[in-house]
Amino acid sequence: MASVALSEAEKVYIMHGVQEDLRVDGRGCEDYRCVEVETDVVSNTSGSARVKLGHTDILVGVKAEMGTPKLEKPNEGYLEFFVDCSANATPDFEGRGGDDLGTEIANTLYRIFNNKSSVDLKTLCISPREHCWVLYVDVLLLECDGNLFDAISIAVKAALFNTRIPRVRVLEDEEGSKDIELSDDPYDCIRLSVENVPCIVTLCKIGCRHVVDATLQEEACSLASLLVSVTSKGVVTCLRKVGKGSLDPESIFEMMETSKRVGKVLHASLQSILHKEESLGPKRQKVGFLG
Amino acid sequence: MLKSKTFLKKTRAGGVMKIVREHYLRDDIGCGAAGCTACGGAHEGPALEPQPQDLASSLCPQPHYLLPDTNVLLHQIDVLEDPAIRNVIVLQTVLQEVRNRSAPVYKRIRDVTNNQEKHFYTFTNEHHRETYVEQEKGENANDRNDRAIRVAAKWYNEHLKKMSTDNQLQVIFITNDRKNKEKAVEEGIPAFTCEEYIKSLTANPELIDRLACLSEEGNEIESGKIIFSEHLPLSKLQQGIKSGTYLQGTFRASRENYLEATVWIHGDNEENKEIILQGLKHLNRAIHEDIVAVELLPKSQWVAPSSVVLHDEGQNEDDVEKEEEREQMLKTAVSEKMLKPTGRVVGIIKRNWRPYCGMLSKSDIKESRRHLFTPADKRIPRIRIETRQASTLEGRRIIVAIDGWPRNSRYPNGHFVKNLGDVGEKETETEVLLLEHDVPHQPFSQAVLSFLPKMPWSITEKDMKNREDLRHLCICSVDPPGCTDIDDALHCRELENGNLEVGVHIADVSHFIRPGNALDQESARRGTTVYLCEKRIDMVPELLSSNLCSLKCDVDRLAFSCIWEMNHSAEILKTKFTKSVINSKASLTYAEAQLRIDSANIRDDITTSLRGLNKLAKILKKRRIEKGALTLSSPEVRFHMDSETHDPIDLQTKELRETNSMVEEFMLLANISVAKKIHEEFSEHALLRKHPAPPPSNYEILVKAARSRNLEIKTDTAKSLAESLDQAESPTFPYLNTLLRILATRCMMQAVYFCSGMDNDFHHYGLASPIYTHFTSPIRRYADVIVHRLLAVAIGADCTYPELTDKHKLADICKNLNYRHKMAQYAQRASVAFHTQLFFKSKGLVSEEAYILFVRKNAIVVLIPKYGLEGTVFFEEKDKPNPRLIYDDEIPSLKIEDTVFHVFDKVKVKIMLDSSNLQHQKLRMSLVEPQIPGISLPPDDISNMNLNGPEKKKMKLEK
Repeated sequence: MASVALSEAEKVYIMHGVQEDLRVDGRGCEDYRCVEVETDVVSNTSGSARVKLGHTDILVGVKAEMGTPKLEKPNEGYLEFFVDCSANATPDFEGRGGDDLGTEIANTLYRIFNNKSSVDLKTLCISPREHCWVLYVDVLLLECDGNLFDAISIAVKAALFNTRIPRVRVLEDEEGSKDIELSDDPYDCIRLSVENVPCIVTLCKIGCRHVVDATLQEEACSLASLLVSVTSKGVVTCLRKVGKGSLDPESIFEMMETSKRVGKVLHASLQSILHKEESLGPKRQKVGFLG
Repeated sequence: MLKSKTFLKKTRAGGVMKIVREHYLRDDIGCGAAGCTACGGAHEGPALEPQPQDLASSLCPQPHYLLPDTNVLLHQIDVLEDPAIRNVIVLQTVLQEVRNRSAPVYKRIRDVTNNQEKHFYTFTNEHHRETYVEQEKGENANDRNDRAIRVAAKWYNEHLKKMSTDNQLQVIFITNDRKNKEKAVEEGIPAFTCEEYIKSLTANPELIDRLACLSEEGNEIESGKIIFSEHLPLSKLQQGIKSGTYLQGTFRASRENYLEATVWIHGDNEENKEIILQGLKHLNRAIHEDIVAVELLPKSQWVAPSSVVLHDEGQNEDDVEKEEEREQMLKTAVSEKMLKPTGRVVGIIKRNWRPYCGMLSKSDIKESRRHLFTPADKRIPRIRIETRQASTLEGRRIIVAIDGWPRNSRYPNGHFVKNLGDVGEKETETEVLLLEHDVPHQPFSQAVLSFLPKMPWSITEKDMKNREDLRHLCICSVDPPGCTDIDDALHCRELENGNLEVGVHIADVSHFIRPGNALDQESARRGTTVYLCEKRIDMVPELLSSNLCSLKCDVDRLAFSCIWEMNHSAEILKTKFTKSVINSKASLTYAEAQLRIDSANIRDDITTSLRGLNKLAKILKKRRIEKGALTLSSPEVRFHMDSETHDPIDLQTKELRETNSMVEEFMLLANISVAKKIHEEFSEHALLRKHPAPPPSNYEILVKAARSRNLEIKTDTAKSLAESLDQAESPTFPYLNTLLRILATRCMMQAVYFCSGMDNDFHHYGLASPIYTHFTSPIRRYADVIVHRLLAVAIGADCTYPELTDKHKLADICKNLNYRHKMAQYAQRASVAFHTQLFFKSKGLVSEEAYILFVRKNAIVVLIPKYGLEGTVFFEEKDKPNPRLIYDDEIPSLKIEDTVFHVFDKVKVKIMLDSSNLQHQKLRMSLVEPQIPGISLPPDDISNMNLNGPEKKKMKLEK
């Protein structure tokens, strides 16, 4: 992972600040940095979103393709995640340098979506056992400035919200052979319900307190952090500890409570901003990468 | 302004793809109207006239432009092509839709828009800032296009109003879609249906006939019951074909019997190659050449091909019961063995309709506007058309296009396209035979002509690069009289070392026709020049064929030369190919050249050269014949034309002189040398010509016929055939040898072009050469142009291009060339046949000596050497009792009453013109000698026979 070199004195300074609920950039321990979200930024995807969290910059594209359902879930579609760590973000990612991180993030994403309530996979089924939609979620890391997981999960949610899957019909004739018919109207499409799509709230243990949305510097001061994926209703779907330090059970409980509280607010503001953006309609001036 | 267009597409694999295209909107697209100040010089050459006056429409008296929608363009292209319809705006939206739906119509509309007289303007509305529309929610692609068309129509009307205030110029929207029209009227766009508009053109009533009659649903339901079963949709057909329940094949109607057809099944499996269809319902509205899907009937319903000749003659089309009766007639009892797989058409995969030539059969009801049209091709059903000018069209050759074939109609519906002229008129008949043989004969388009060299043309420095100057050589050309496209010239001179240098110089057509341009494409499409009796349909524009490429005397011309060094026994010591410049010293005819060679007192350079060539040619010919080359014969005739009327006044069989064979020998030599060279250089993609050996069974007829004259013909090799033909002489019957050679010609296979990489049998049977190609006539054959290019690349005189070394492309070219050559031959024959008819029409009745060529079950085929004319004498006639006929297949012979006919027997026949069928006039032959009572005509009666009508003739026969 990208890291910065900090001197002991700097670390002490950050840790003392956190102790006083005053972080280097002036935030409190439970404050997020300013989040910028824009959807529908890549026109040839089914759905896309770009999220900037501080200097962390994430682009997510969702591509819907037809495939065959998995054997154990014949009437469901599925999601595939792939994370590409661009060497733009840090020179460390050059070559295969970003692969480990990419796999780690992808695995985390698989885990937080690995439950029935996150996305209604049944809507992705076209005809049981034969055809279903496969959503390929491609994450591109453009810049790293700490708190990658949170930013990625926000971007994935926004991209899924933006995803429009063309509506197809299965025509069946007497002989039983099936043919897929595509709707003539490009506006005729399925939208996914993102109501229960969780977001990750990462809590970094700094000293004896924990902070959300740690910057790269703060991450360097932390020995252990906890990823908690929370839905908009405050339900925890997944929990993961990263870092080499240890956490005592009591503080884990405390951290979960914090994450639920922070997560709810995060979801609410994300939801409102997405709806607001959509209400602008297709005439909205796109910012894209030039903004 | 940049927009992106997004659309979804189903891929072939069944997936769904999202495609994003950038779409630019511009504001500098002109409206096309001349004198429009708003668009100024935004476009070159305004297409629309500023004040279109010519169309006087009662619906819209003020000047206007037309703006048709897609369906109008698709279905009413015949009307739009009429010269009376001008000033039409073709929207890009419409053009694209047409392109997706029908390539032929698209091509026609492009041709019309390119014609400046027609004032058609293509408006790129999709890229115009003010007329571009985006697909809205709940709108399908069709609705969007309709809206785009309306938006453009509206824009035009507003735009033209801005042009000047007193201007009343309007744009009229033409659509046959009722809803679309209503919407347009709501939006304030003047809109009419195509029919309304055309009918309002009071000055041009003839246009109405050219309207395609589209069966509007609901309109036809009341008119009678349904005759045919429904065609299945394409998707079902494809599934059926995949699963094997249906078979896909080409529908071939029978010439003899309109209730019968065969379907040639595509595919490799040997069995069920051909399926018989019998009866109207099973034919189910398929038309000759359509690709259809058929379902096999159970074995119990299989039938045998009937031997009955049936022509559709009923005028009252709705007599379906009668048809059923007739169908019963076909099902005569036949042995089990004769039964063939039988099926019925379940659907049409692809229609292959084209405009058909033919004649109108006027309806019996006087005031009726519906008439039946009888195509010249008997395999095409009669077509119902609607016309008001039936009386003017009667007795004329016309062209009709099919619009559709509803289920409740006995005949397909069509519309009148073009009047070709009176039946029997030379121009009309020539046009018909060109159309029916698919010979491209339109004048060359501007695009093609634009690639011609600019006149005055002269040889430049650049042309001289890679070119040898042979102007000093004494070159001459020898051709038939009146030849203007001289593609070959020759020379022969003695070298200092005592050897002879012989040169064949071929017009360098590939210098003028550069690969890939419009001129090249057009010549490739035409493939060959077609020589009719009184007309020549050029493959390349006249400037090239008769001037720049023609190796005329006393002018510098570019040539491709093949130069050999030979010794005096005609053995090739050295071969050289080079591009050159020559200056022919004389253009001779065969007769002139012969005269020079024969007159001992002429000793100039040209004559010496000719004598040298002649001497070598004789040796070459002898050597070729020793190798087993065949000398075949076919009766060739030339017409002497009246110089004023172009009517044939006399026939003459072609004379063969030594000089003919002299030129031929050197052309063969050049072709063989070039074939070797290009094959050596390009073993995978040389264009060659082969002549496969015929299968032994082909010769049966020849062997049998010879045996009946106590002669033996050996056919195991070409050489033994040639030798036995040479020996087959009869002292009492000198013409026998020629007859045998004519028969042998009929046994041969067709020679074809092919790409060396796609085949491994190169042998040319007739010429007994292991390899052969065509190099010597590039002006009149496209194959030679390709060979020239290959050779030029091989010797480094020209550069290559990708298509030249693509063997699949080359194979495609070969396929087209073979097809065009075949068609050109048929057209030539048809032209000779027509002129022979004209000749006998003017000559009246003649009785001539003839020889029997073939003996058939109920007829003999005879050849009249004097006219090179072949005809059939039938012994069974409709209204007469059949004579006693005994046919022996083994000898073969035919015994009629007490007279026996053998092949090669000499008979006397009377030739007359049979005009009982106006559309298919033909020469009829009747036997005069030997006399068979009741069959032959008494010879003294001939002089007072009247042949103007079939009625009278019959009376005579009954006497």
